[in-house]
Amino acid sequence: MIRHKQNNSRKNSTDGQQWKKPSVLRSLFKHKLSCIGLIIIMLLSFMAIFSPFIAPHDPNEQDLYHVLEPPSWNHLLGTDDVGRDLLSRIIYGSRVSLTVGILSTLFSGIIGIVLGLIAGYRGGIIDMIIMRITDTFMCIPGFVLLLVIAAVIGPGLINIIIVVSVLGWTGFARITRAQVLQIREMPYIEAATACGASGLRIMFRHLLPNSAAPLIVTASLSIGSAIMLESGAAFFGLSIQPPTPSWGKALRIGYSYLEIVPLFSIAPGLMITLAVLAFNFLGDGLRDILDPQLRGARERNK
Amino acid sequence: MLIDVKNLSTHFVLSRGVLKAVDNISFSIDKGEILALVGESGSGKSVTALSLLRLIPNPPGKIISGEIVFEDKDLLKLNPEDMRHIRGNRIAMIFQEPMTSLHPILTIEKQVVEPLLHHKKIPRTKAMKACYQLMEKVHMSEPALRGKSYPHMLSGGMKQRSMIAMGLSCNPSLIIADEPTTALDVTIQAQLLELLKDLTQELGTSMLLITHDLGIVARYAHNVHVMYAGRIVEKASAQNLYARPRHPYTMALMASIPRIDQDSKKLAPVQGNPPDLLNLPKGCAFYPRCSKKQDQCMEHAPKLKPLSNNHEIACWMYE
Amino acid sequence: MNSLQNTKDVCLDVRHLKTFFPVYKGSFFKRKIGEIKAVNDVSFHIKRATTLGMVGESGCGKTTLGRSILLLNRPSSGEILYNGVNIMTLNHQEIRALRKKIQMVFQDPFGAINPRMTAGDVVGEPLLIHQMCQTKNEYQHTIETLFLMVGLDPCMADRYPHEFSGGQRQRIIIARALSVKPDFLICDEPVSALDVSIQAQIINLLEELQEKYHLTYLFISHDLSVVKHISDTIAVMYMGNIVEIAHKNELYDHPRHPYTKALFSSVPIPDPSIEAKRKPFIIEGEVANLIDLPSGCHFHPRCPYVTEDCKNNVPVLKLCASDTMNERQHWVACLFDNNIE
Repeated sequence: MIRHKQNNSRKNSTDGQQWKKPSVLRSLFKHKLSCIGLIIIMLLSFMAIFSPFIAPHDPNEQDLYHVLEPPSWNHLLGTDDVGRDLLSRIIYGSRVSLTVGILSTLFSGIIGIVLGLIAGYRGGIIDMIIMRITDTFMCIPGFVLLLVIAAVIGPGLINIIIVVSVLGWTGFARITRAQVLQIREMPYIEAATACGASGLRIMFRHLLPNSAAPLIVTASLSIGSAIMLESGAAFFGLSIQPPTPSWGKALRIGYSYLEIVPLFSIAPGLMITLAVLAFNFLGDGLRDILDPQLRGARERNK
Repeated sequence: MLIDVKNLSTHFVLSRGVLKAVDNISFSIDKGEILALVGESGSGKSVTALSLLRLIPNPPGKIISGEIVFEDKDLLKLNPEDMRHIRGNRIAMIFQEPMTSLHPILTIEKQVVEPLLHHKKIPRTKAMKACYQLMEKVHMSEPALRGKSYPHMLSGGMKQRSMIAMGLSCNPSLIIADEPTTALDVTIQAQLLELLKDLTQELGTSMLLITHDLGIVARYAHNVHVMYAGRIVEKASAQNLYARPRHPYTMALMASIPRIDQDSKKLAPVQGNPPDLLNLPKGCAFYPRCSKKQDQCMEHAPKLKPLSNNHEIACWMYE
Repeated sequence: MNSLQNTKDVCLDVRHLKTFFPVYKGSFFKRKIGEIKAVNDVSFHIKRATTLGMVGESGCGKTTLGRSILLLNRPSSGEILYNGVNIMTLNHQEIRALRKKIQMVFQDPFGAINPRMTAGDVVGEPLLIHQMCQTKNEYQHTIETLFLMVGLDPCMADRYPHEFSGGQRQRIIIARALSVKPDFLICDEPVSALDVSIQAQIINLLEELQEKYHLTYLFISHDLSVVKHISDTIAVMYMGNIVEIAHKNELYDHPRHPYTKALFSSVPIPDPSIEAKRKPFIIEGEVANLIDLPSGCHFHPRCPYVTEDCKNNVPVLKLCASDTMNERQHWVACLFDNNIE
């Protein structure tokens, strides 16, 4: 039997040198794709926050004399079916999409991560129960669940956030649990137990920070899918209520006028695509930078 | 002289700089000699071994200069086909971690027979017979059973014996053993090193033994080269090195290891930390930790100079 | 068993400790098919402010023994008396309080520290867990003191583990262990993963700390030279049992168990002139399967002195030599109790 002995290459790493890891943000900008994604996200956020200052018109101001107009100097993207400026509606629409995207990811993340931590750390029957619940939720087709829940509790911003959160937590739970199962056997977890640390402390001070990398990646990708889900829900009229502008709704309405004013559908469609792409690029970049194996290779090279 | 290495340098190009893993070293091994290359992690001893067989991953590593003359050929100038003919055949290597050096889903017999089939081009039945003879020679218990087993079913000692069997199968002139027993228990280590010593003596094979264990070196090596930060700092016969170590690093190292045959007095640790190979000092690499440093040590790196018969040293104290 | 002289003197007293790991077959409906007898009826005691070295090779159970004492692996049976109190009978809170008295120095300087915490946080965590500091200032001050105690620069407290070398990380681990002011330290291979030139620094540090704070050590290692240097008494383990236990010089000069002799003989001495004169006593074979233990004496398949008796009877530790002046005893578990030189 082989006795446990450190691989010689590990002894090589760091000799007390002050090698500061380049900050994640800086690495993100260096990574081509994620740089693009980050810039787009920053622009979208800017758009969402400062909508009142950017939008040329009030998005809810109707002008029934100028409906479905093509782009003009006054209305750069034309007007919608009740004469509202499409550009302003698109700009304000970013608020809904980003809010739903970020908040629902936040909530599903919290639910999923906590459940994953408990399942992974405690193991045994608790793990089995939590995992079977997770499996059950994963079996249900997402969109069907969305339609059912939305039909039951009705449309609205808060409701759509709830729905999307309920759909998204399973991914977080599984990934967290997988990470915890790996890390649980590490000596420093044992050391914490030997010091008298409670289960809660171990879960949140030791297991969670070391599981963060894949979770951050999942979160950024989740935002993208949350935006898509919201748009899909809005398409079926299950999202926020009129007159609040939303890309999904605009897409829905524009769909009817596709032959007359294709821009009506193309503009929101493009925005959704852009937003989702941006978050996916960011997720890719984060994954490459935070990947423990790549990071491990960097450590070993020191 | 079986193998003559001159001015070998192997560098690794990393994003943070160039790592001079092996920096202009020269040494030679005679027929039947056991040469030990001693050093700690980062000293460059493993990279030296890999360089001899041109197994350095490129990128990021590269053998940037030197000459390795083996059987009248410069190994660094051989084309890949000829080099493959040397590996496993004329020069064999035994690695440190038998767990990762054996193919996990091939049976032991298939792996031990592979060099024979590839290099000697003998028919399979004959090769299998030779393979089992080899396994008996390395004192593998129940060779018939072990041969049909997979690596994960074997203990560390058994796995390493398979590696030794593979290494010796084509009767190489030189065996490079890179920390062959570090991962094993001490009684198994003793068994395997005795085995290696007996077999190499019997077959007349030379051995380049790479280790950090000064005890193993004392027991088995004829000659010793001490490496530090990619350079050889002292060369001597085993007798001379232990009787009269000269380089401050060698002396400090010997004073810092606890000895089982001596009563415990306080250990004299080597001060400071192992060198950062990306930021080596300008002059002598050991300067920051040396207790006998002088001004010129900081400016100029000393070269290996002969001190007496069969004893060379790279230190300004002896210039 | 090991007779106790003065109970006040004894820090740790382990009696007939057994830690078995069940082996299951099947995935959903598991069936127990055997047990790994990692620690198989072990008894010993350690006197205050001394060091007991525990040596053995893979599968001997020394690491499991250390973990069992800390209750990281729950022992199956036996008693562990710490300062006279059987820790196996303690409840949750009492065990937590015990963790201030018994600490562990771990072997892996890379794995035993949370890579996402600063060195200061790592060292200070036990202080927070046991609420040992009233004010933030006190906390900072304690961490500074601990850093200095182990020879680290306190201004490195806000650096992350990857910025430290292996030896420095080991010092952080030691500082963490000392933070709660323990009396007893279990050192599990604390220097095995370090470079040879750094090992001496850490060994010296451990010795200094023991002298200064009257610490008791259980020093577990496979490296005989290190163990012989730092320990007072050495226990040799083989397949879950202690086969011999004696003062270190006595053990080296007069080993009585064949395994002990083989162990010492296998360690090469860094001196060719001495090595040339030594006759290595090398035993063949390997450690047997822990699930399928050999009958009688577990060592009998490899023992050059084996007889029929050995295959049938399990030897127990017997007192074979005693030095009453120095209060030293020599115990061996062998049916022959012979003096093999």
